Amino acid sequence: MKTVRKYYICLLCLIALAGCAAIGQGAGKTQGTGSTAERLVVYCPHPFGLINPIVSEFENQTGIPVEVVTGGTGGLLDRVAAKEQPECDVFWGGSLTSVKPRAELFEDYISANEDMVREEFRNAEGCLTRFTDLPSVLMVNENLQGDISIEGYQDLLDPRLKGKIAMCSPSSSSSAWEHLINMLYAMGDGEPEEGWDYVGQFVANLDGVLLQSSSAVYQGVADGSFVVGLTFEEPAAHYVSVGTPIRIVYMKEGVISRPDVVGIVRGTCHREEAEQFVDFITGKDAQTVITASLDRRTVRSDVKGAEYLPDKEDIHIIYDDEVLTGQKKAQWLERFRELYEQSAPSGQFGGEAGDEAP
Amino acid sequence: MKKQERYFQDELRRLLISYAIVPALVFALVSGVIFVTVLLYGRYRSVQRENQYVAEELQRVLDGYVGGLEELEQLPDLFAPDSGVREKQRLYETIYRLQNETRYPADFHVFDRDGKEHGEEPPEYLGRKGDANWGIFAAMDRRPGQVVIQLRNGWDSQEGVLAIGKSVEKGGYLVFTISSRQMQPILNQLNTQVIVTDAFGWAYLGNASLFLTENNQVRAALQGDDWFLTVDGKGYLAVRQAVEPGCLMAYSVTSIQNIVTSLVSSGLLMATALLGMSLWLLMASGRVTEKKTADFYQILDVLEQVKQGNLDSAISIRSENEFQVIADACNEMMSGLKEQLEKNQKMAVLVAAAQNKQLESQFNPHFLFNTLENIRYMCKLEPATAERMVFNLSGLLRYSLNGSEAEVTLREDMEHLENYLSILQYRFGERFHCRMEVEPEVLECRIPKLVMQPMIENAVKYGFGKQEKLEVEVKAYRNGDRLMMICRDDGVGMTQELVYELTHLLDQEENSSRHCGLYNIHRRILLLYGYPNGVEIRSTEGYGTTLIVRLPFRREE
Repeated sequence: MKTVRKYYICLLCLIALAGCAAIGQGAGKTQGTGSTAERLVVYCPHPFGLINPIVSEFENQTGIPVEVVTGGTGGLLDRVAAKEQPECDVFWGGSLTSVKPRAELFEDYISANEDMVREEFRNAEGCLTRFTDLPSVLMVNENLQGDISIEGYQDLLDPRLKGKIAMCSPSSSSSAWEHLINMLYAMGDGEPEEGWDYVGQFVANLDGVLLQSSSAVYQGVADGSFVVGLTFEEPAAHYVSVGTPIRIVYMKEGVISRPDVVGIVRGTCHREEAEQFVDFITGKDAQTVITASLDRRTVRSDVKGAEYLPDKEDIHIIYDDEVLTGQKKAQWLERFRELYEQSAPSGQFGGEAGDEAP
Repeated sequence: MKKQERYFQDELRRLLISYAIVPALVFALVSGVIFVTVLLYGRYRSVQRENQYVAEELQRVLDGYVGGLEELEQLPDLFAPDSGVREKQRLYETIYRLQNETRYPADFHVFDRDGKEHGEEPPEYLGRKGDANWGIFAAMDRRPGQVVIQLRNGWDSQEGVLAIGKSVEKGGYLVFTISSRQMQPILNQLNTQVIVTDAFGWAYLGNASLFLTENNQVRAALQGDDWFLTVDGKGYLAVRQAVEPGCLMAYSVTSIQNIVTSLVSSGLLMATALLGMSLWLLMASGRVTEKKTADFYQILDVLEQVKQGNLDSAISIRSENEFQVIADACNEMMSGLKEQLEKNQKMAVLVAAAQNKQLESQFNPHFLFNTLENIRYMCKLEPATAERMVFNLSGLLRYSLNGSEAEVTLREDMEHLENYLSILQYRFGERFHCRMEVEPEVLECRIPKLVMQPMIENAVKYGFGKQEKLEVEVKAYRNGDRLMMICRDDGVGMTQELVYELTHLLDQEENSSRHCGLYNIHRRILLLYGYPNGVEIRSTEGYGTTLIVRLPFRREE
């Protein structure tokens, strides 16, 4: 009797064990997928329209598989600093002024194409290779504009636009940060401190609406959620080129045109592939394609500008004091946050301005 | 009976449990595992078959067009601006044949060295030849004379195009393009979900949007080599196979959610049934086995009683099984046994009565002889005393011969003892003295006739020796449920050997010696009352003798 019972118990245990093992194995296997060990991981705030053709061609030409992680510049930089999975190898995008304060995250690398890069877009820091030249613009949905005249920052104070303006939090998106600098210099007539009056009125006209990612800005204007958006030239130009009723407005008060950058993340284990990637996107072929069909302005001297984008000479270009801007970043973001919270006490300010090192 | 361990019932119960519940559980589990395995394996095989089908179709199409490129390369005047009618006809013949053979139509392009087709720019998805070294042209330039297969616009789920191209020495590029829409029919005949990607995971074909990123790339989960995946908590089986190694991958996925659901529900059903059955069995097994073993324990109970001497109980079993036979046999055996015992008992009573009668009628001839001798002397010296002695002796004889009753009260026995003591008094005069000490409480006790006389006789017999005087003390008292009669003398006592000899003699069944007085009373007491009643002798040489008689304390009713 007893032995029979023991025998049964043993059998039961064996079956249970086998079952557990099988389940465990199955679960373990599922967990093990998604290995990115052989992939080059690129963090990128660019829209897919720009990313896909370039990444795909890079893969085809070099045979190196790439995994792209998209998001806002500020958020992605935080993820690089936190060494989140998948660990970033190349940080591609983000305006110079938003990435430069986090220059310690990047390794020095001078690309093979540096000689062909225009003087003003040289890699002065050693770790931040310029990728393209990006003017800040207003993107207007022509169908919704009606009889509101939108030609510059001043027009954004129109009460009819209250709550209809798409802007990102300057702490999470480099396009919004560039627009804040642009506003301060353009509306303060070269003296950023003078521009804060305007920023206060402008923030009040946002009516508490502040978006989290730059893609939400151009998508919001294109799908009609907003009448006007503060963004870079490229995504707006893309919508123009595909026939969306979008108009690009270069602010009559002045436009700051800033290069965006690409950097190799410190401590990458794909250094060689990362260098190949930087060389590829700054190479003549890629820059030609970018200029010809991807709505961007090149940094190279040997590539002609796009025919459908206005020449820089025709735009009222102004310049900021980059050193000052760099020093004041935390302070200005804080001030912007305060203005925003005054105007919309219940609103949520995207990201913490204090996180950004000066 | 209640306190008794019921091993047999417990064993029966355990038997029931281990041969019903445990096997049911084991078989349910084993068959469940087998069932799952078979189901999953069947599903996996069908996914594998369909994946194989997709991969082979793709391979066939690729092979067809790659072969076609090499065939078309041989055509003369392919790059001439105005080829003749004959050449054109041959070109179209080949293209139509290829399309029909492969069953998936492709577009054919001929580009000159500048990447122009009849002076026009190539379609944008192929990339530019002009300013930038880009797209399929860049790939063809890197490997002139070799066939290049590339997925163009893979990020667009609608517009993906598979380009098969070759840079030809004769002065240009030959390219077949198959848009994903043209390949779509391959998916129509399938039950499983399929994704076809290039080497970098961009999807060319696919109807499994769950496994594609928003950027139309296959999800990392599918790219590993696991055959089982979970996505959003649902299980999938996956198979993957390379087509034209390094170019395309075909992934097949099927949901096993319906299998899981049906398994879970049938598992629950089975578990509930098993649980119910187990609970019922655990609860009922006690009752059932108790009922089934009741007959057995009844027989056991009766046998236990028999062991303790009770033969009056009988087994009553009404179940028509083997226990009935056993019970009947037992009952028969018991009644036979009982009859025999009763007979024996009757016989024993008869024998004891006869023996008792015989024993009590025995009167010591020595005493009779001594008394008669004394009387003879007295007749001459004191005729009056002699007459009283004769009177006493005759009273004693009448008492001993009166066989009507075996038991008398102590008082009666003492009255008749007076006759004996008087005779002794006449015989020994001042030399003998007897003192009686009897508790009034025991006077009405029933005792065998003539018990006290042999005790005093024994004292006289062994006490005097060479002594001048003899003092005898007789006591009777109650000790619990026992009547104690003690006769102590201050005579010479007995040697150890004699005490041993007498004690041994008392235990004999038959008496052949002359010490018949003590033996008689001991024997009679045993016959009437059984052990441990009887006579005990204690004596030390020089210090007298003590006789102890133990009897049950029973009074006249």
